[in-house]
Amino acid sequence: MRLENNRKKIKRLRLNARKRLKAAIRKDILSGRLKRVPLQFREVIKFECPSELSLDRNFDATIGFFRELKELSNQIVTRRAYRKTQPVHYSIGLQNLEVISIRCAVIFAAEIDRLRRIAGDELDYKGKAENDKEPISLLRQLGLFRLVGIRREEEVNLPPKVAHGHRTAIPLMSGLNCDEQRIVSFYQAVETILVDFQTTDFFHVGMVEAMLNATNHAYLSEFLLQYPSCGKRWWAAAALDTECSELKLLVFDQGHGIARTLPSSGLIESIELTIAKLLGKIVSFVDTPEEILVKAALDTARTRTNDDERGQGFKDIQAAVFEVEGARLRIASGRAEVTLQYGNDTVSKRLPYHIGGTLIEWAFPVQSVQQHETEVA
Amino acid sequence: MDIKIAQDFSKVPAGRYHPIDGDKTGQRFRTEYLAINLAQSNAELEINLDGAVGYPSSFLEEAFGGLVRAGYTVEQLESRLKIVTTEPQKQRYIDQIWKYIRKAKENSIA
Repeated sequence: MRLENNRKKIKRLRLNARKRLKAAIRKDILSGRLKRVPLQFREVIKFECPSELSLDRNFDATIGFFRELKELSNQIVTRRAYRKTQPVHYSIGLQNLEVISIRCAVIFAAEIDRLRRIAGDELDYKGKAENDKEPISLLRQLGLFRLVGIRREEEVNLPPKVAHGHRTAIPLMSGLNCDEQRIVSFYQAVETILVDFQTTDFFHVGMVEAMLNATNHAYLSEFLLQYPSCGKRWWAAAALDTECSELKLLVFDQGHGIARTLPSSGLIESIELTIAKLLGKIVSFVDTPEEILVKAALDTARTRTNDDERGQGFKDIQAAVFEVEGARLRIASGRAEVTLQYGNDTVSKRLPYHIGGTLIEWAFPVQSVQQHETEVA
Repeated sequence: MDIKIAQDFSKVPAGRYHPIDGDKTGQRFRTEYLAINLAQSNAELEINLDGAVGYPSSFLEEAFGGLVRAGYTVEQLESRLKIVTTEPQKQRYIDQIWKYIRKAKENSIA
């Protein structure tokens, strides 16, 4: 009897509290202190993925798609000024997606992770997990569907399978520093997709310096980021491409880009940059300022902080290319891309738009990796 | 006295400053292992590089170059530190470490 009375009392108190809250909200709306959420935030925001996500072959549409996703984070922040009654609903149409590069898959997954971290439960995914076309399979392995909140029970905790004609990837990892456990987990995950893989020194030093470049240099506070950030974060992934027999390691950040954060090294380079600024846009064989600076970052002892003891990081990032036959390093940063290949000169390429950060990609022929590890062992 | 970095500290040392860059950084190795052992006695200190996956330059520079910035002279370190490895691919790290120590001395004078 007493228990019953207590329950009724609690229920009555809750109802009264809810009535008071609703009355306060109504009063705020009427007085203009609190506005109703605009219509645009009450409908499902739909994104349609292009048929090909590739920085090499479909750059404009690819970057356009990623920018649309980034805009959602701005909307989330703007929406916080209004009364929140329900999360922002969004969906991403992937039914048209036929081709996706590994680089774009990593950028895509990282963008979804960033949205998730910024918005939390203010964002609700209304799409569905698509069928298992190869690009969708790659995104699923990276964890994109898990990040938006869709889980397939049979995929939880299963190791990735290496399939002929398919790419195999480890789940996207992310961090704000280089804690030991995180680094070890990454290497252990790579071992699940390439059985003979053993972490050797050039993998480790390159990956670590790329991660530190993200956390220490990419998100300098003197420059404003266009979109809300989730800290000085790096994202890393690895993928095995059985068709071209390559292992790819990638580190990505959503910072300002190398060209913005690398200081000029002196008068000659300043002159070079001025000439590049004037001619680079109209003459294709003249490197743009961004290309010059990204290439310059590969010079040793270039430092952002002007501390004499820093600046060897990019030397470590390049080291793998000189150690493994057939290896390739590609750095896409801001509006420039630079490729360094074993035995070849550095090649640079201008990009029409800022890619939203810096993406460092190492590609190793599987045979060379295995041969190198045999020599080292 | 000897320190085996892989066994005593970490097989995957990474980063410069602790805890900003991580939990197994050059600064931490210097303050908790190198500096303490150098201060405890005047005996030679052997640093064994075997077993670790690799040594990023930021880790080595902060760990060893940082000793000069902490007040040790190059001559003191040359007489006290013995850096060894049995792995051929890690020989280059020994040269790197001494380069960082000497560079740190030059920078402190400049």
